[in-house]
Amino acid sequence: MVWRATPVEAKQTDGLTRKAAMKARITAGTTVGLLGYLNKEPVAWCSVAPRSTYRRLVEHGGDDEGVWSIACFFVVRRLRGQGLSQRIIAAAVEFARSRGASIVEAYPVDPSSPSYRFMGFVPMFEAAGFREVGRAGSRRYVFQLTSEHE
Amino acid sequence: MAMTDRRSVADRMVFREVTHDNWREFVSSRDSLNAGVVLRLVGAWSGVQRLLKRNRQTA
Repeated sequence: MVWRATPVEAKQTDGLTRKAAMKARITAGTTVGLLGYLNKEPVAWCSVAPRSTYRRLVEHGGDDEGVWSIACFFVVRRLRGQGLSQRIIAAAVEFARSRGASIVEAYPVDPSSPSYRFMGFVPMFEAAGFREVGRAGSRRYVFQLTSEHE
Repeated sequence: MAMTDRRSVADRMVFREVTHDNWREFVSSRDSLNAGVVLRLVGAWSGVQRLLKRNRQTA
């Protein structure tokens, strides 16, 4: 929700208000992302949606047409360290392309960065075939996967 | 006898779009995330407090 909040919503920091805002988006049919299940239990989350549905993630990011963003990951603690990030990225890319994405964009940081880390790390996206196309601030990179990169 | 699924966790994972149908599951997974973030913030703050206390004692 942090990357989707409108300026008004961003000032309302309590969980209930944010959940209500997210639920309103989902009820309205707005794409927000994927849940990963293991044995029918939700164990992972990936925020993946058209870039236009997020507040501005990149300055001068160009036209939003066909551009989807991977903005957040989460895997339950007991399953971390098993390489699930590659599986989640692959699922997110497949989902985005099935909905018409021509470019999938991500905003990772270096593994040693003290910045917000739920947007993933540079090596994860490099391994998935993404390429750096710019920076978002001093510590965050902009990576993209386009069909010609594959 | 039930067969053991020897596939990796990654291979056994399935993905579904978050919709009105699985909203509740989405909220429960997000609550786990929020709890983790809070615990980390508390841990970081405790570390800062310990550092400040040590600096006061050595000053």
